[in-house]
Amino acid sequence: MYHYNDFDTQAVRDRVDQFRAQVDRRISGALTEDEFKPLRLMNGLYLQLHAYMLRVAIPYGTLNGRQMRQLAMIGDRWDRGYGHFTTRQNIQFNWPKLKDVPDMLDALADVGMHAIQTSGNTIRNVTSDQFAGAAADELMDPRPVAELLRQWSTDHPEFQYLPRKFKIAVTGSPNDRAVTKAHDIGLRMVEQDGATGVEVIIGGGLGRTPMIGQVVRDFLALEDLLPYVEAIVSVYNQLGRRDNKYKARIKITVHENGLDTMRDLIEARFAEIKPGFTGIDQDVLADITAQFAAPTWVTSDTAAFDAAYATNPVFRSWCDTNLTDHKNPDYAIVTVSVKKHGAVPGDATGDQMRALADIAEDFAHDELRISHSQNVVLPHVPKAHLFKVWQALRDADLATANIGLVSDIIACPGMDYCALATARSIPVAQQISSRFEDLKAEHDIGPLQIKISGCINACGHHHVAHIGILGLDRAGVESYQITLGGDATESAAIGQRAGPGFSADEIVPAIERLVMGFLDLKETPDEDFLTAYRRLGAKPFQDLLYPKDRTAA
Amino acid sequence: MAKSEHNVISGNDLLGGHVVYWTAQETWSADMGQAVVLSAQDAANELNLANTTQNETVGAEINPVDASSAIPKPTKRRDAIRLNGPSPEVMVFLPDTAPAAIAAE
Repeated sequence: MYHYNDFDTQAVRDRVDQFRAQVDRRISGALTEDEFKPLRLMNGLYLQLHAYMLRVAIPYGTLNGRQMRQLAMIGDRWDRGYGHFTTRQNIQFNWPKLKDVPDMLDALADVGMHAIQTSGNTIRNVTSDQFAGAAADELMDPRPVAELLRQWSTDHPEFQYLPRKFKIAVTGSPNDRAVTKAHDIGLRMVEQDGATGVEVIIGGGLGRTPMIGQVVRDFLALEDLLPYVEAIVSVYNQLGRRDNKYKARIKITVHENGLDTMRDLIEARFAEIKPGFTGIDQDVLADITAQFAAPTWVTSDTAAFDAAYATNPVFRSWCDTNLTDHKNPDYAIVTVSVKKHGAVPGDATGDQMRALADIAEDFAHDELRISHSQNVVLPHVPKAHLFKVWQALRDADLATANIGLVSDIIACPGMDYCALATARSIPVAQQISSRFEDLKAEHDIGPLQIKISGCINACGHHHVAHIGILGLDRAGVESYQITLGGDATESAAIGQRAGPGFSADEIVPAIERLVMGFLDLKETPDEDFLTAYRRLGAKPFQDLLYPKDRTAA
Repeated sequence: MAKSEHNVISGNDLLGGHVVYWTAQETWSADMGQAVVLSAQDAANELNLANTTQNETVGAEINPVDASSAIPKPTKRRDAIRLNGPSPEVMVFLPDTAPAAIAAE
């Protein structure tokens, strides 16, 4: 993985020193809140309902053990002993004190991390496939490109005051696990005539106007990537609307101007700036790529794993649910559920983070990932170590076997923390998760993605959920709308609203009716919810949600 | 201007970020029991005064309350969560264990 060079280290340290002085000036009264607010937001510091919140970037979701251990220390020392993994591969600390934040940023800098550009109208944390470098279906590791984009976009002087925030996702696999089509720019590695390049997608996004991104270039040579991305952002910076916050994202720019016009402008800008890229970006990329070399694979006897798998049903269930094929058949990718039944999705305690760091260092080539689904991934685990890894996870209360199932719910912080939210998300997720654990039905239900957002901004990605839940305020009362048939993968689709909303008391029983009723709609035991929905259409699912004897909320 | 008959003024403490309430002594307190209950007009006037203390408190706003008991109760869910803490900490969904301010909604 990438390690900061002297330039990176100095830049981050300088930024912490600047912010420390800004905090001192705010506390002394030399800066007003109006003057201080943009400065703190540039450093990822929000003021939420109950407290400040520090959002820390985990670039393309990659961490090593030392970094995870430092996050645990930060949570224990300056927060309430935990951190919250988000849907954009960040971690949020919900309870910092203002005077402590510069020390927290210094502690991050100690391990090559920062909170720069985790807020504001800038290019945000570049996200990627949580299985990058490990997936059996991967064409190319997307992380070197993501790191190049991180370096290019960090403090880029032209792009600090964009019309609105700007999100980029990169995947190296045809099976899209990075939700690239719901990003301002989505980059997908593709092959053409034996060469690997990039398919460039623009104009995706969720929020109040959800749109699936469109392909603006079906094949771009890798050496053209940086000037082409710069051309896109440059065109958006000029054309994007600054008169209306709700129409300022690039998805609206593409929608209002049309894809062909955007393509023409981008290509013209690309031709204009490409000569300025004299190859230094490729030198940097080559250096970065070398740092993402695969670990030295080990071959070991899998007899212990085979024996445990054959004789221990709990371990077997976890393997069947939480493991993914690795490109090396002697290895597995482990997804660690941070979604114990009834727990807050994405919350990990300091002890759990330390346990994960230990496991990564002892058994998994010292690599960890954070997924956009708010789980933690050990990307390189020799199969011979799987039983020990599972035992260690079990000891840390992290061995829930529910990846991809009904209780593996994405949820934004909602009105329990977020100043923008209009309804709670977390308690709804907790109750659904607990209910289906009580029913012991989730393995029979099969793959199912429930995603919950506590407001129209859609941080919980509800639009691309198989079952999406959107919490709104209706005359001072929480109301939850359900959408059906969304898809976050390469076949991305926006879910369709099912009907009238449900009250906070009604939403969990409604989801239970829908999901348990789906069991009777399955064509075969293996048919999953989304496949059945596409086969049958919305009607039978709406009938489950809105039985004739129900009174609408 | 606030429409409610009974209101309090809340903000976030500059240093700690925690929720504080405007008192009859024209200071801030973390104790809702110390909050001064104001009419809509008075709340609008007091908000201007409260906003002059931005080196102590950030984001002053008017919140409607039910003033029928000794300690004012927020009438909006968001304000109740600000007073009592996030649901995972106070089990908002379970009426038997919910703090009085929320259970009364």
